[in-house]
Amino acid sequence: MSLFDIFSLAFRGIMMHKLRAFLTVLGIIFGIASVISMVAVSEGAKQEVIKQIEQLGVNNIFIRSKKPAVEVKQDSTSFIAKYGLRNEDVKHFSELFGSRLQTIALRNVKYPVHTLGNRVKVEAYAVNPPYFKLTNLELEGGRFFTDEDDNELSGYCVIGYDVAKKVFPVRDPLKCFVKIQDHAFKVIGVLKNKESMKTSTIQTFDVNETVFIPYKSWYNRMTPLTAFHDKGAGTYEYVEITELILSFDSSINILDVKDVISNYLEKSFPNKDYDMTIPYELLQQKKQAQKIFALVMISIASLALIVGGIGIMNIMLASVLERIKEIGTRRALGATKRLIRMQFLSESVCLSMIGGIIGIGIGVGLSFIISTIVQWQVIFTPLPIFAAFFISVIVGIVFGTYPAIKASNLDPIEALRSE
Amino acid sequence: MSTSQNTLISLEDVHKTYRLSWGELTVLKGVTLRINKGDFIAIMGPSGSGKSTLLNILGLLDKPSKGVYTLNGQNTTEFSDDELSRFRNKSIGFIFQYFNLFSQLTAIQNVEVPMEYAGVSRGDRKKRAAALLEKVGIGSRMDHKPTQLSGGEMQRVAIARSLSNNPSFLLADEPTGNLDEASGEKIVNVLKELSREGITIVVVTHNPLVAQQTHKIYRMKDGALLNTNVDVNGM
Ligand SMILES: Nc1ncnc2c1ncn2[C@@H]1O[C@H](COP(=O)(O)OP(=O)(O)OP(=O)(O)O)[C@@H](O)[C@H]1O
Ligand SMILES: [Mg+2]
Repeated sequence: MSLFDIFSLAFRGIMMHKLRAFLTVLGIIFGIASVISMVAVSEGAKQEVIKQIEQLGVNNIFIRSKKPAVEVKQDSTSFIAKYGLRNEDVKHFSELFGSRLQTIALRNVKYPVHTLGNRVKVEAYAVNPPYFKLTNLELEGGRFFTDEDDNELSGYCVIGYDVAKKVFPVRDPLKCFVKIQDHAFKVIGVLKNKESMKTSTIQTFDVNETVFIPYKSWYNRMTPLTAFHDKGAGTYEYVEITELILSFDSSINILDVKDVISNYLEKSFPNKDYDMTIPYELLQQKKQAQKIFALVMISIASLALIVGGIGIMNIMLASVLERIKEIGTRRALGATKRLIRMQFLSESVCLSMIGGIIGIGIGVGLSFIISTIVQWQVIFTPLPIFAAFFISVIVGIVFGTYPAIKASNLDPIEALRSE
Repeated sequence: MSTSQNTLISLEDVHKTYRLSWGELTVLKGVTLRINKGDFIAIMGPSGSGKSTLLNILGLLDKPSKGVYTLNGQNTTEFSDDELSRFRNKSIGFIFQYFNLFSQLTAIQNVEVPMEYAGVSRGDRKKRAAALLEKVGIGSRMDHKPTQLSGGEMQRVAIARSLSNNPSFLLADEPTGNLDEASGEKIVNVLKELSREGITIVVVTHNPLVAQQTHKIYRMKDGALLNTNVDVNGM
């Protein structure tokens, strides 16, 4: 008897009780559908997070100044809140690691930006010139400011794509100036549009919306002392660096240097007015978390599939009982035990396979629905889909074997005699 | 006993004993029987006398507890389950009192089943099944499900099915037991026609009118085949 004959026989058997078959495979359908959609959605989420972490750079360490919760260090005479990383820390790291480390300081200028006498809603950041190279930013026009520009304390700036669009919609930005406090900065470069580019751990930082000025120019012209005028009362902050990027070359293992750095920081900043972020570690943690998530999902899915499999076994046992006379007749007509086994086994495999296929279809549909709701992309890899199909076949075999053996071991005469 | 060229089936001192909780029940008590090729015989006897048990043994569905069953010169006692299945498939045609058609299959599909087991190709199966249904007179009902057929028609489908692998003999256990007189008569006529074509047939029946159509009538009583072979046609 050919495999085609066996499966068409199995299919006819299933079609005898369509509703019953459908109810039976619901367990498999839900099990498979949930696996497929969970894998697709979580894969999408994972890729999103990994992309963001990798954009930060796995060879980098980010140290961000943080305003201490309790301002113990507030100067009682001048009301200056002084906190965060200082240039002397940068010097310490440079001496410690030499040419294998590049340091890049960022300072949120925090003063309003003006052009042509109007205030514009963009932020200004003072950065060391290597920032542009490190973050792979590209120019739409003009040039970046260089170390020489910085050393000469030139009044240059580079503006983000959206800044150029917003502030200079008609004029050529490269002929214009922006003004911060009393200081004028000539626009010498406009950045290309960078879609959701993450170059900093500062949440609100968006290169498209930023005016970049050279760090030393800022340091010398505006000084790290920032004054806020809040309802007449003046408060002051002294912060040298908002965020420091330590960019190591590839000969250095981030995990080897991270303890040296955190030990130094712990000693130097007893107030804990800093945050250290290690993208490499985040990536590892994320991957680890993903593994655990996958394991949990597999366990849940296995439970659903086992329940589904038991449902199939149950219905197959009922089917064997119902069809004892048919089995007896088939044996009389010359079916071997093996053929009877095959008949019932292929029926349960058919059932679970149909469940698997419907489940895959529903899972894919569900993923797209979820993806439009949560607004992140879903990713289908062929592996889970093939695995789901394969597993549903296995479930059919595992849970169909016992009923099939039971059917094949029936005594032909007793089977024929039954009603 | 010597077996002549013509002997198809030979039973020698066949016993069948069932072991039950309260002891043993011997249903066949030493049956000796020879059936030649082309024979058309009837077995009659009261209910519970062991006719079906004997037929099951002849059909290789059951094994004697004691005694020898020789089929076509081959001792069947040593056959494995697979060999028994193959013999049932290729050499024996079964006709049942309750027809035993597969309700989910059409008439023609029912006739195909034994050929599927024999590995006959799809095309040949269809052709032969159609020819057999034509032969038993229900060529116009090939695609009907059993529920759409009368009892007599169902039994004719079953006969077509029993013939599908060109068996050496047919075993029919009360084939007319569930039919009215007219339908039963048609079935008997089909069997007679088949016998005329040379096929060996054993019919168990309670109906003397059916038995009379055969060549020989055996009587069973209390597990023994009585030696009063009635040679109906004086053969
Ligand atoms: N598996 C079994 N276990 C115990 N006793 C059995 C078994 N099968 C049959 N018998 C007994 O064997 C005896 C003969 O049964 P069998 O079916 O051969 O009778 P029969 O001549 O065909 O009767 P009927 O004309 O009613 O069909 C009966 O008494 C029956 O109860
Ligand atoms: Mg009987």
